[in-house]
Amino acid sequence: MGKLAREVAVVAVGMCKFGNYSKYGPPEQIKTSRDLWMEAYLDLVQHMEKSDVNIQEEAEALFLGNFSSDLFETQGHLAPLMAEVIGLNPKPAMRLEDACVSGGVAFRTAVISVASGMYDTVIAGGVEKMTDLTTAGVTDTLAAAADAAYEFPYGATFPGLYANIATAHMAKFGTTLRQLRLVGIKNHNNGKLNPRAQMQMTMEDMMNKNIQKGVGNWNDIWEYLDDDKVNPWVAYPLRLNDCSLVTDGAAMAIVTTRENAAKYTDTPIWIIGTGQGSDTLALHDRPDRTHLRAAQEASRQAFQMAGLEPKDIQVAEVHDCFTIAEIVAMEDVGFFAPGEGAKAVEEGLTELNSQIPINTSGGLKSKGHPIGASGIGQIVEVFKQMRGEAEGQRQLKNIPEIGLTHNVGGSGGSCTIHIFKR
Amino acid sequence: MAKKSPKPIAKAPVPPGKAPAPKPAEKPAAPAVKPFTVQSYTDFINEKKLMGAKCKDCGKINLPPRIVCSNCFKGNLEWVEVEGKGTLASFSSIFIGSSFMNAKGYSSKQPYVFGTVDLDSGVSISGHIKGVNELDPDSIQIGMRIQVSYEDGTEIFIDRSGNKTERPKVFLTFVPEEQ
Repeated sequence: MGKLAREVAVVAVGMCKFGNYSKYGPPEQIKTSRDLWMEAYLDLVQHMEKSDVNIQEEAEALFLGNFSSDLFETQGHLAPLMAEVIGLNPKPAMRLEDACVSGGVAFRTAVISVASGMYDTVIAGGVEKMTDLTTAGVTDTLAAAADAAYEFPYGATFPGLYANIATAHMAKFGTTLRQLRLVGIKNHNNGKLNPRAQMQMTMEDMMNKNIQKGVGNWNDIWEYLDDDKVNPWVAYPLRLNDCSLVTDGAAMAIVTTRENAAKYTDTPIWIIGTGQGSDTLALHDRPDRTHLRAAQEASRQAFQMAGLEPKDIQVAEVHDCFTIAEIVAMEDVGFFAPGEGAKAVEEGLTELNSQIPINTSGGLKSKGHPIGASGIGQIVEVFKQMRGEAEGQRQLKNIPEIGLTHNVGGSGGSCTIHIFKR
Repeated sequence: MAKKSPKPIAKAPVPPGKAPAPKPAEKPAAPAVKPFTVQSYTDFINEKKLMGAKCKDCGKINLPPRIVCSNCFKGNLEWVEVEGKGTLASFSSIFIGSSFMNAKGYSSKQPYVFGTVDLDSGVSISGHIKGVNELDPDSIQIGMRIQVSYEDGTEIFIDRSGNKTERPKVFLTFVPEEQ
C-alpha cells in the first residue's frame, strides 16, 4: 500500500472564471455547467505549453468531480455529456461524488488509473453550477452531504455543522472570532490578485464600496465585520464573511505518464504523494469534534508516500469552506500543532511570501467554491505557483518546488491530500 | 433458523370435486422485536422513548440503533432505553436555517440552536437545543448539562399520489437539565 506503480504528472490545467452565472441574472451572463466546462477546456488549451498535442486522441478517459448537478440543475448523468462537449466520446467518462471533495477524488482516481498502467493520459475535472436555486434550496442541497436521518431533521445546515466545529475548537483551544475573521481577510487579499476569482476584492474594498453606496459608515474593518447589517450571522460563530461563496465553475487537468509528459511541457508537476481518508458522516459520531480524522489520515498517507514532512511544503491550497475550516486544515495537515493554527494566521505566517503561504488563489472564500470543481481548482493554483505562472502579484517570489492540496467532503466525512513536486 | 423440510416442494394433488379449503386471511404477524432501523428509532421517539440497540456480544450501545453493531460489526442486538441526559459538546445558533426548520417558524430573527450532545451512557447524537437564548449565543456554554425533551408537533406526509396529509409527530429536542 501507499505507492504509485509508476510516475504520474500534471502537464496542463485550465479553469473558467469562477462566478455567479445564475439564471436569475442578465441573459448574456447566464451559463450552465456545460458552458463553464467548455470555458475551462479552452483555458487549458490556450495555456498549454506545447500546443501541437491532440487532446481528443491522447486522452483515454474522463474522471469528473460533481456533487449534485441532479439537484442544482436537474441534470444527472453528467460525465458523458462533459466528455461529449470536449470531443472525448466514445471513451469512458465517469462522475465521482464525495460532496465537496468530488474533484479531489476524481483527480486521485485519475492518478491511480494512470499509475496502474490502465491509461497513459486522462483528464481529471470538476464542475458545479450552484446559483440557480433559492438560498434555502442551496442550503438544503448542501445539507444533503450531511446525515439525512440523524443530522438534517434536527436542523443541521453546512454552516451550522462547521459552526459546531468552531465552538468546539474555541472551547478547547481558545480560538477567537477575530482569528476566524483574519482567515477571510487574508484570503480576500489573495483573491483580489486572482483574475479567475469570483470576488476580486479585499474586505476593505467591500467596506469602502458599502460606504460609497451609503449603506453605512465604519471606522475600520473590525467594526464593519461586526455589523449585522453588512455581515449578518449565518450560524454563530460564523458570519456571512466566514463562509465560502456560492459559485458556478469548472476546472480540469491533464494527467499523464513520464513518457508522455514531454509532449505537453518541459516542466511537468509530479504527484509524489496522494492520500484519502473517510470518517463518520455525522459529526456527533466523532469523539473529537475539533479536528477531521479523514484529513489526518489522508495527510499521513500522502506524506508517507512522498517521504516528506509538513515543514517541506512551500505552498498549499486547503479547504476553507468556512474560516474555521482553514484553521482546522492547517492543524490536520501538520503545518501547525493543534490549537496553534489560529495564532499562525494572526502572526501572518500563512500570507503570501511568508512561512507557509496558504490559499494563494484566494481559497474557496474569495476564489469561490463550486463544490465539485473546487478540488481541481486547488490543483490549478498549485500547478501555476510551482511553475511561476500565477497571474499578477500573487505569484510567490520564491517559486515553490513542493506544494500540497487539501480537499474535504462534507463536515469531514472524506478528504483527499495531494503533494506535488516540480 | 428452522431447518429445511426434506419433503418435496410440490403440493399434494387436490382430489377431484374438492376445492381447497380457503386459507385464513394472511396478516403478517408483528415481529416480536422491532427491527433496528431508522424507522423504528423514529417510531420510538413518537412514543417519547429514546431507544438504542445494545450489542449482546460486545456490550456497545448503538444510538441511534443499527442493524450491525458499530463496534464489533456483528448483528446480535437488543433494544435498550437510553437515559437522555448529558452535556452539550458543540453548538451553533443558526440564523440561515434549512427549509425544514424555516417551515417550523425559525428565521434570521428567531434562530434555532443545533448542537451535538454527549450522553452520559457514552453515546452522542445531534439535537435541536431549546430553552436557551438563541439570540445571545455567548450565553450558551459547551459542557452545560442538558436533557431530552419531547416536543409534540405535526408533519406533512405526502402519499404516492401526491396527496398531503398532516399527521402527529414527536420531535426529539434537548433543554437545559432541570436542577
